[in-house]
Amino acid sequence: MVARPEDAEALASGEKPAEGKPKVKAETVNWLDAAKLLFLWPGGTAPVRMTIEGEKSFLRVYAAYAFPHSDPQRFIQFFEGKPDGGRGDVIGILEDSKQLSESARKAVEEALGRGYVVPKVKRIVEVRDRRWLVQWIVETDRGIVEFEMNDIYEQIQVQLHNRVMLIDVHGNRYEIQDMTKLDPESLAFLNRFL
Amino acid sequence: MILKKDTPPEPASEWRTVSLQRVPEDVARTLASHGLRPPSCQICVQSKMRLDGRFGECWLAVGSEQIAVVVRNGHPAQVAWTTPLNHVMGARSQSVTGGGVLILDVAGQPEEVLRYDSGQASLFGGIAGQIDKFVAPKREEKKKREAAKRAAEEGKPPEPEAKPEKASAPPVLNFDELLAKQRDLLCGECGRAYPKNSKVCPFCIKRGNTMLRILKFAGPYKKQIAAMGGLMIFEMVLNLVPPQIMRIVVDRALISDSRSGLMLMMVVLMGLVMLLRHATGMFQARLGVWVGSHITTRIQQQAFNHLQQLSMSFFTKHQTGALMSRINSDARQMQGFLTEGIQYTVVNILVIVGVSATLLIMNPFLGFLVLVPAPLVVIISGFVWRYLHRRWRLAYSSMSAVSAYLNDALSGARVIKAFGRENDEVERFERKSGTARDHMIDAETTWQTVIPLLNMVVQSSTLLVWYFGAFEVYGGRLTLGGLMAYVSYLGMIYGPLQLLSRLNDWFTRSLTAAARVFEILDTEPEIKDESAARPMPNIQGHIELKQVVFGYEKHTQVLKGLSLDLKPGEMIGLVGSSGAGKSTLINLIGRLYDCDEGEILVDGVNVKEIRVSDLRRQLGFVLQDTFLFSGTIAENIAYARPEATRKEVIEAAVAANAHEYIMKLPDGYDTVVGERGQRLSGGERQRISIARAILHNPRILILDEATSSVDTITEAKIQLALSNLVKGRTTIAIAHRLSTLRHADRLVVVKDGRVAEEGTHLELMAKENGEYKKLVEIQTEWSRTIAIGGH
Ligand SMILES: Nc1ncnc2c1ncn2[C@@H]1O[C@H](COP(=O)(O)OP(=O)(O)OP(=O)(O)O)[C@@H](O)[C@H]1O
Ligand SMILES: [Mg+2]
Repeated sequence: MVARPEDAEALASGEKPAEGKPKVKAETVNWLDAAKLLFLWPGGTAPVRMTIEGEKSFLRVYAAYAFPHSDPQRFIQFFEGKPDGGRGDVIGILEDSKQLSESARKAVEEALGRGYVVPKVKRIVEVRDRRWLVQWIVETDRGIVEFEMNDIYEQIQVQLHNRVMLIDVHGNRYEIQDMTKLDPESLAFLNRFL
Repeated sequence: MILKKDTPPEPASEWRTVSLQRVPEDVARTLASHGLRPPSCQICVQSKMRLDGRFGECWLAVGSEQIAVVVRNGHPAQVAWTTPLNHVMGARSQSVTGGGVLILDVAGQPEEVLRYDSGQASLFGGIAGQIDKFVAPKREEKKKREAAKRAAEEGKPPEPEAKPEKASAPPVLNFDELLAKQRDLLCGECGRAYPKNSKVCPFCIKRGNTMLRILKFAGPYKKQIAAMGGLMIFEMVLNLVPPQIMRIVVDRALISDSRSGLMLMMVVLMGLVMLLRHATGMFQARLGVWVGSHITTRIQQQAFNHLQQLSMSFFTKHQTGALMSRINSDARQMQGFLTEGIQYTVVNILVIVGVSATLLIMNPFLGFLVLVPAPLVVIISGFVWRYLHRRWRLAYSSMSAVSAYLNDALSGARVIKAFGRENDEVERFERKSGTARDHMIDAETTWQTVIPLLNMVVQSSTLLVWYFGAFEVYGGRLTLGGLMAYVSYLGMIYGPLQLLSRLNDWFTRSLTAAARVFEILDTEPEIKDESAARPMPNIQGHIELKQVVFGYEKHTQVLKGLSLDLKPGEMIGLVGSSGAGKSTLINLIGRLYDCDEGEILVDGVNVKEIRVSDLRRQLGFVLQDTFLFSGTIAENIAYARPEATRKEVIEAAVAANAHEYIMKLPDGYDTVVGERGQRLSGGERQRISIARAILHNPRILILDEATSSVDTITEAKIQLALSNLVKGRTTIAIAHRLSTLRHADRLVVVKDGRVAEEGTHLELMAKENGEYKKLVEIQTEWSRTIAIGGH
């Protein structure tokens, strides 16, 4: 259904819809100003509290990343937490977490980003090539992990700036931020497939 | 709260967990100190991730009284979190990038309890579902109590019980079914999880069994294959003859011209052997082609046949391209293995044995000299092969990436043009094909470098034979002809020896291909006739849905207890926002999927008990995404009833308001619609699919956005035609444009996986703040045409 423009105008100006009648609202984005955001996080698994200075405070917020794989530092959307632990209303989007203060960034990245952020590979401990399967043991910023690949061409993705994504058989991702900065041994493992 | 009463007679130490996981001693002890031990502990499973997102060992145990999470990271196990089960008011799994979080509602406070990765999402999602189901009655009760309290505080009289819920049995906390389902996701052999969307465990492709099964495909062609084998052996034996002739020529015939008679005989003999060899080769090759093609087709036909039986869920989970390659290249790989692989193997082994024996008999000393290093040759070429193999693998996968890209870009031609991205796509293609080229060059050049080197090393044993053989000749232990024959026998053995090292790899590759084909053949159709399926040739059209729960993925429900009752011949209109679950609902009625809980009855019989073919024959679908096969318009209309007469086809087209435009086409009903009907407009395609449903003449008609792409006037015309068609048939019509539903007897609003409202247009409009009323008002506002329901 295509609405005539004058309809939209009438609606937008709020002229037509009478009191009590439902209004159609287009999706909008609330871009958050990093300078106005305050985060309170006591640590552990406690909820994160967020305040937009001069506006509103939220007792429990959650975050979602718009580009969790390709650009996890930026475009973080905050949700109000619902009592059942679900995601409630959208609060807004923060363009760059780098603009936040150190402690605020820690709260966002540690508490809200816990499950989201892809483990960063620091060292490749071992790679075993088994016919149709490649087994990896890597050390990441989240500890040592072992995983398997069955289609190396799809599951090793070299991206811009020497970034490499390793994807395991279940679709879990592991990021090598800059392959040129790996130690020679790890690089040799990786180079077997590049 | 009733817990599972009769736990199976298990030894007390038996934990319920997923395979490959063993509850460690210290975890068991720690859990026991919190009263969690089998059999009252219903489940105890491990996650690879800790709550802070680090990798580690975390155990979740759910018992009849208590839930606990135990972490174990090199240190002794510690309880990280625990709560009595009766404090839990709800459970859910929140999927996040790369995995999920288990969230429990503990006395009104959501608590994140456990994290897990993508491989375990369905397990923990299932656990959350079970816990939630178990605590749901308690939660409802609490809600009611609170509502009553609030009402009392506000001084209102307590609301009368709306509808006393049917006294259903209280839920039971039991994970057996979940664990059983999980078992299907794990390799039966090693217990590891299967790769995503696959049922072939790369760790343990069962060589023996797969091999036997491959052989079965050759069954009908046993005789031909045996004949081929016989010919091969014959050819091998023939190959042993020429060196012997050469020996006689050198040793006896060439020594003086008086032996020219013998020479002539030898030449004739040589000619005969040559003739025989080539004739055998020719017959064998011809047979090979015949048998090979028959086997490939047989595999392909079986796979395709089975694919057609499979349920929708199989197709949504597998990529079309991947399935195509299974049917095409995997079948060919299997065929290659059957027709050539096995025989080459046998023949090569025979050659090695035969030639070695000949060499040893002719001259034991030389034989020993050349045969002792033979195993070394096998080992070295094994290494070289593995080294090359890695490069080949890269080259092949980059090549398949190119063809996948090609497929994508060619089918998306319209979008590429529309956005003027031709040059960028060319660039992308160049990049991809460039990579493939580089990998290919790398693999080929390495191959061309390494193989001659290897050959040289291997053949250097000829030098040994020449040198030491000369001494044998000087010493009279070997004739000159004997030495020459010796050298040519030696040449025959190198190939097979090198091949021996590749056999293993070749077998593996064929077996993997076969395993992928067998995966299709072994997939049980989720939807199939029960053994006692009821024939129902004459359906009246009474449809009843009772508390239907369904999710495409088991951890996210789309329908959450939807109930609906359709009388025979009634037409209902389904409305609701995009993604509410309308199409899902009709997919369930057509049994494209089976519901997880609740039941769907047609004429009082559960659809799962009705013979599938009977049900589908009496159901007519006009689907939201119209699909036409490449073929003519007439063929597409008559798809479900190919025996329909031309007249019937035209009548159906007329009813669907498609006749007029079809006749304007130069080829009329014989117009070829192109791949997926691309040569027609969206509305034209829709009208053909309506005609298809009309011709099908079903008892139950399902229209999912059937007229969403046609203009209002055409729609009105189709509506008129349909109103005749709809008479006497149970009809479910889905539409976003509410005016489409003006003929509906009743309107049903679906929201959040449940029926939010139902009634006639007037009834629903009378509802203060009703969902339907809101929808109508918004549409009216936007279109300023008030025509819904004809009022
Ligand atoms: N094959 C599928 N696999 C997984 N999820 C699916 C699948 N098909 C649909 N869904 C999801 O199920 C939900 C309901 O989809 P459904 O198609 O029933 O919506 P609908 O009410 O028909 O919406 P629309 O009006 O847009 O057609 C959506 O959230 C959708 O993302
Ligand atoms: Mg739909």
